[in-house]
Amino acid sequence: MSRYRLGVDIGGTFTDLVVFDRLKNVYQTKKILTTPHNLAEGVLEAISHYIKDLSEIEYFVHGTTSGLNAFLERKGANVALIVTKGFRDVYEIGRANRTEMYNIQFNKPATLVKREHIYEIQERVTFDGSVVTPLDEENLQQIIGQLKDKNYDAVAVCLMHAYRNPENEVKICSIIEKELDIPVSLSSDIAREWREYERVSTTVINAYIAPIVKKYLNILEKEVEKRGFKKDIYIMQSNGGVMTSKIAKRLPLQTLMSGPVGGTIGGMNLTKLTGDPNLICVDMGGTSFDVSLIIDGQPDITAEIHMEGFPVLSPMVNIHTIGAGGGSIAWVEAGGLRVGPKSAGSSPGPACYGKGGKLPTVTDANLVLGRIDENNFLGGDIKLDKQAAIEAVKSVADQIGLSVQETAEGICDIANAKMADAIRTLTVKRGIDPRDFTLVAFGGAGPMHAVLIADLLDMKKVFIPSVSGTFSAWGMLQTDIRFDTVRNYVANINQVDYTMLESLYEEMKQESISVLNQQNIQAGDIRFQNSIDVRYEGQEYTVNIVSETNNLKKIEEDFHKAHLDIYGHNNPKGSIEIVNLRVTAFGDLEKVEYVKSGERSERQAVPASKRNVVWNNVEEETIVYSTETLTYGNYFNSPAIVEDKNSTLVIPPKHYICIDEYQNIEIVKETAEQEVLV
Amino acid sequence: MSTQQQVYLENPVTTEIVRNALISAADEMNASLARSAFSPIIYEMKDCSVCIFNRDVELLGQSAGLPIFLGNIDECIKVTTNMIGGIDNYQDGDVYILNDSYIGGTHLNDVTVFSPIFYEGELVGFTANRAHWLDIGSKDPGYPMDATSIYQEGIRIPPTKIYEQGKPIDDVIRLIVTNNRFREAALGDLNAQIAACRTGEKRFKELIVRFGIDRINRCIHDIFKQSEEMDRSVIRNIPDGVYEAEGYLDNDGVKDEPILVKVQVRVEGDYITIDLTGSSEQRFGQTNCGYAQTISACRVAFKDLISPHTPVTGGNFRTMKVIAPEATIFHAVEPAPCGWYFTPLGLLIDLIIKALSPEMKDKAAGAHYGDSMVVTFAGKDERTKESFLSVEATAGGWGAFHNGNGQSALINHVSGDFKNLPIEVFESKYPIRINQYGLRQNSGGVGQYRGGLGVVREYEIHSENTTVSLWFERSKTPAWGLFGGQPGAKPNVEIISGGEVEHLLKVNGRKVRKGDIVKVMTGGGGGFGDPSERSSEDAEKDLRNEYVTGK
Repeated sequence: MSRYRLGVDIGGTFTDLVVFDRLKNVYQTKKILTTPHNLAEGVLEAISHYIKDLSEIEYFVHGTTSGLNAFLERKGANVALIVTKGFRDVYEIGRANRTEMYNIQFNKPATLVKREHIYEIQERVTFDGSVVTPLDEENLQQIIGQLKDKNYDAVAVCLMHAYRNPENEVKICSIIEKELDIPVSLSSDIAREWREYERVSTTVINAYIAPIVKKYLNILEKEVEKRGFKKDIYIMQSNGGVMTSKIAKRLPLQTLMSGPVGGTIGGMNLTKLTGDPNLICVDMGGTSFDVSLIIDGQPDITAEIHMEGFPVLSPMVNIHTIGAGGGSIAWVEAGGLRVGPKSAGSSPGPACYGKGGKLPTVTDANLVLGRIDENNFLGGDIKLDKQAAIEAVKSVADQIGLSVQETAEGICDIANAKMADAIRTLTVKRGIDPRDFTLVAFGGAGPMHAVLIADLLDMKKVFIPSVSGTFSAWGMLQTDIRFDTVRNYVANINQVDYTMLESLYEEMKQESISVLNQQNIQAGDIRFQNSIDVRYEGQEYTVNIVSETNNLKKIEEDFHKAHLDIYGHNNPKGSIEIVNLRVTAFGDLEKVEYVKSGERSERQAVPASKRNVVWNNVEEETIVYSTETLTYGNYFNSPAIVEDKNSTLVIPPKHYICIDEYQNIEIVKETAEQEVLV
Repeated sequence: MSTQQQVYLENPVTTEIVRNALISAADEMNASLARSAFSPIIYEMKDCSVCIFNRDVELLGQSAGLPIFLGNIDECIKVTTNMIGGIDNYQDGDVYILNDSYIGGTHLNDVTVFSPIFYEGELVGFTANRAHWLDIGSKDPGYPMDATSIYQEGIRIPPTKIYEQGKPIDDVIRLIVTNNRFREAALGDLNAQIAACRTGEKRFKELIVRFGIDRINRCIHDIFKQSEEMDRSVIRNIPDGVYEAEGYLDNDGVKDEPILVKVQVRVEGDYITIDLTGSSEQRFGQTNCGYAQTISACRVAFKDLISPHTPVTGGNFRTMKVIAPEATIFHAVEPAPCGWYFTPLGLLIDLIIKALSPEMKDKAAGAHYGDSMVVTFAGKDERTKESFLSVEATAGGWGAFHNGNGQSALINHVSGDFKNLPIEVFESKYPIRINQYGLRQNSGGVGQYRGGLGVVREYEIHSENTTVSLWFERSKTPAWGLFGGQPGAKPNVEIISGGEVEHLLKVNGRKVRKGDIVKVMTGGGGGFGDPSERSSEDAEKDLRNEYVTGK
C-alpha cells in the first residue's frame, strides 16, 4: 500500500520527479519537459513513468510555479482592491522612491491593479487599534454591486492599521463571502505587519495569483484522486516548509517561491548527510545565478523581499540573484571588457548553439577553452558549434587586443569574479565569513563554475550532489510542515507589558495549532519557535532574535551581540525597541533513509577520455571522467572534467576529488601536505 | 589595437574584475551604514554616501545614496591634509570629522567622517562617508527655514580628529554631540559612520591582498580612462554650440523676491562647459550652495543625459568644466547660510536638461515638480509629554518624455532613492493623523505624453503645542513641458483652522492647534509633445482611472 514517497518540482523548462521506492529501497528520478498549457499534465506524465497505481503513494510533495509564472508573466487574476477612504493611491504611490538614481525617464513597476479597480470604503482604525470611524456597510453594499457588475476574479482588502485591529477587514470579508464566491485576501491574514504599502502590495499579489493557484491545485487534486491517490498533496512553501494543498489555496502567496527554494532545502538535507552545517548553495542556469545560505543546518530566511520591484512581507528563503549565467553576453565598452547582465537566453542562445546567436557568451567561452565538449554537452543531446564560438569570442578579442584564448578565459574569470562578489554581498555584509562554509553547486551551469568561484573566495570545499539534476525535488521530500505568524507590538524593551506579550504569543500559537490541525498534525506534535524583531530606538531596520523564553534581558544581550556581528558596532547603553513578535510552528513529517552505495572501492577513478583544456592560459591535456563510471571511494586529482548528462563539472588544477557513499562528488583544495599524499 | 596598449596599463580582464570588486565593496559599505543608522534621513532617505580613495585621493569606488553626492568628498580630505601639514601626519587608526559648508559644499547637517588606511605600515588610501544628521544644533530643531548666516545653522566643524591611533578623543566627540538636540541619534549615527569607515578599511585591505596595491592603481588608471573615453564619445555627438536656459526660484525664505538661475552650456568637440554666470548673487536666506556641491549637481544633469546606467568613477567628468563666480548662490562664501543648498540645484539640473533638449530629444524629459517640498512638525506630544520632530519630503510629478507619461508621485531629483514614511509608522510616532494620501488629479502638464501627477497629503493635528514649518518651491517656475507639452500644476498648501483657510508655501514654526488641518499639494510634471497628438486610447485611460477629470 504505502510504497512510494514522491517529490515533483516544476521548473521553467523541466518538470523533475524523484521517487523513493520503499520496496526496492532506491531513489529514481525523471526529467520531462514542462507542459505550460496545463502544468498538471506534465506532473501526471512524470508520475506515470514509475507508478501505475497512485494509491501506492504514501506521501506526495510538490513544488509548483503556477503562482510565480502568473505573477512574472502578468497573467494573474482580475483583482478588485478595497482600501480605507483617503488612501486609494497608496498602492500606486508606493514609497515614492526612485531605484535608478540617474534615470529621468524612470518607470515604477506597473501595478497589478489599476486605479479604476481600487475602491475606497468609509472606515478608520487608528494606530492603537481603536475604531474611530465604523465600517459603513451601505458603502460596502455599493462596492459589492461593482464587484458583481465587473466580474472580478478576486478581491484584496487592505485597511489602515488592520495589523493592529483586523475587525473591519474580517467584517468586509464575511459580508462579501455571503454574496460572492470569489477568493478574498485580507491584509491582516496575509501580512500582519505595519507599513501600509508593503502590506497592500503583498495582499494584492496573493489575490492576483489566488484563482490561478486554486484552479491548478483543484485540477491536480482531482486528477490524482481519479487515479487512486486519496491523501493530501503537500506543497512546498517559500519559507522552506510544506503545507497541504488545501492550505495552499488559502495562502497562495506562500507558493510563490515554491520551486526555487527546493534547491536550498536540498542543501539543508545535505548538512544532515555530510555533517557540514554551513553551506552556500549556488544555482546557475542560463540567465541567472542564485545564492542562498544554510547556517547551522537551517535555511537563511528573510522576513521581507522584493520581487519585480514589489515588496513582499512574508518569511521566505533568502535568495540573492544576479544576472550571470551561461548565456551572459561579453561586450566591449570604451576598451573595457564587460560580461552581462544582458543574456542571450535560450533564444537565440550562445553562438555555439547555432540558433542565430552571434554574440559571445560564457558558454561559448567555456567551449573555446575546452571546458565543455562540443560532442558531449548535456549527455550529447545538443551538438555545439565550436567554430561559431571561436568567431564570436574573436569579435570581442580583436577589440581589446587579446588572443581568442586569453579573451575566452577572461570572460570566464570576469563572470566568476562577479559571482564571487555576489556571494560576498550575501555573506560578508552580514558579518559571515564564506571560508567557514562549503559551496554546494547545482543547476545546469553551476558545477561548471563552482570550483573556480570557491577558489576566489578561498573556500576549502565544494560539493556536487549526485542528484544535482533533480536536487530540488529531492530536497522537498525531506522537509516539514511550517507555518509563520507575526504580530506588530511596538514598545521599549523596558516598558513591555508582559500580559500583552504573552497574550499575543498565545494568540499566534492558537492560530498555528488550528492551521496545523487542518494538516493532520496534533497540537502535541507541534514544535514552536518564538522570535522577536528588535532594534535600537530610532532605527528603521530590525534584527530578528530567537527567544526560547520571554527573558528580555537575554534578548537584549543577544541583540547587542548580533548588532555587533552584523554591522561592526553596537551601543550597549542604547535603548532597545521591540517591533514584531513572531511564532514559527513546525509539524514533523516522516523522512526516508538516505540510500548508501554498497561496496567502497578505494581506488583511483577510471578516466573516460582525455582532451585539451585551457588553465591559466596554458593548454593542458586533461582527464575527463563520467559520473556513470565513478563509484563510492573513487578519487583523483585535478585538473579534471567530470561529465554528467545534466551538467559538466570543471575542476581547475590543485584539487583532490573523491566520491562519497551517496555518490556525491567532494572537491577539496589541495594543501601542500595532500599533494604529497596522493 | 596599438592605441589600446598605449592608453591602458593593465590587462582588461583584471581591470574589469577590480572594477566590479570596487563597486561591490562600496555598495556594501553603504548598505551597512544605511541599515544601522538611527536617523530616518539616513536609513530611509539614504542621505549618505561612502567612498574609497587611493593614496592620492583618487576615487576608487563610491556608492552614493543621493544623486547629488557625485564626488566632492575628496575635497574634504585634501583640505584636511593641508591643514595637518601633509600626508605624513596621518596615523593608523585616526578618524577625522568635518561639516564645513564652504569645504564640502552642502549644509552643516551633512557630516563627513573619514580615516586613512594603512597597510603594512604604509598609507595606502582613505575611506570616507557622509551622512545627514537630523539635528546639528541650529537655531531651530532640524534645520531652520529663515537663517541669515551660517552661524545660525548649527555647529560648524572644521577638519577635526576624533580618533587617534584607534582611540576615541572623548572630549571632542562630547563637544560635538552635546551641541545636538538629539544626542542619542547623533552618537548612533556617528558610530555607524565610524563603523562604515572600518568596513571600508577592511574591504580595501582585502582588495590589496587579492590584487596588490600597484595593480589596483594600474587598474584604476585604466578604469578612469574608460570612463573618460565614454564621456568624450557622447559629447562628441552633441553638435558644437551654445545652449541656454533660465528660470526662477520663488524666494530665499527670508526676502520674497524671485531668484534667477541662469545656465549656459557650451559644447566644443568633446569638451563641455557649464557656465552659471548671471545667476543670482548669494542670498541673505539659505538658498546658497558651496561650489563643490554645484559641481556635483552639474555632473548629475550630465549623467542623466549621457549615461544613466553606468557607475560613476573618478575618471568621469574630466572633460566638463563648471564656472560659478564667487559669492553667487552657486559659490557661497562666508557668512552665507547654506541650509537649503539643494533647492537651487533641483532647478539647475532641470535647466541643464532643458538647455540641451533640442539636441537630445530622446534623452530629455519635461521638468519635474522641482524640490523636496519639506513639511516639518515639531512640538510636545500630549500623550507622552515628550517632544517630537518630524521632517518629511513630499513626492510630486515628473516630466513626460519621448515615449511615455511622466511618473506620478515620485520623490524629487536630488533626493534619489528616498522613501516616504509609511502612514502607519507616522501615526504611531507623532500626534498627527493623516486623512488622505493620494494623487492630485489634473496636476500633470498636458501633452502627447502627460506629465506625472503631484500628491495630496492631509495632516490633522492632534496635540495642542505643535508648530508646522513648510518649504514649498517652484510656484514661479512650475515644471515646464518640452516640444509643445504644457507645464504641470503649481504647488499649494492650505492650513485650515476653524473656518479659515490660509495659503502658504514657506513658513517657519507657525503655530497650529488641535484639530487644524494642513493639506499639502505638490506640483505635477511637464508634458512632452503637442497635446493634440495624444492618442485617444491614452486620453480615455486617463479619464477611466480618474487621473484627469472631464473638466
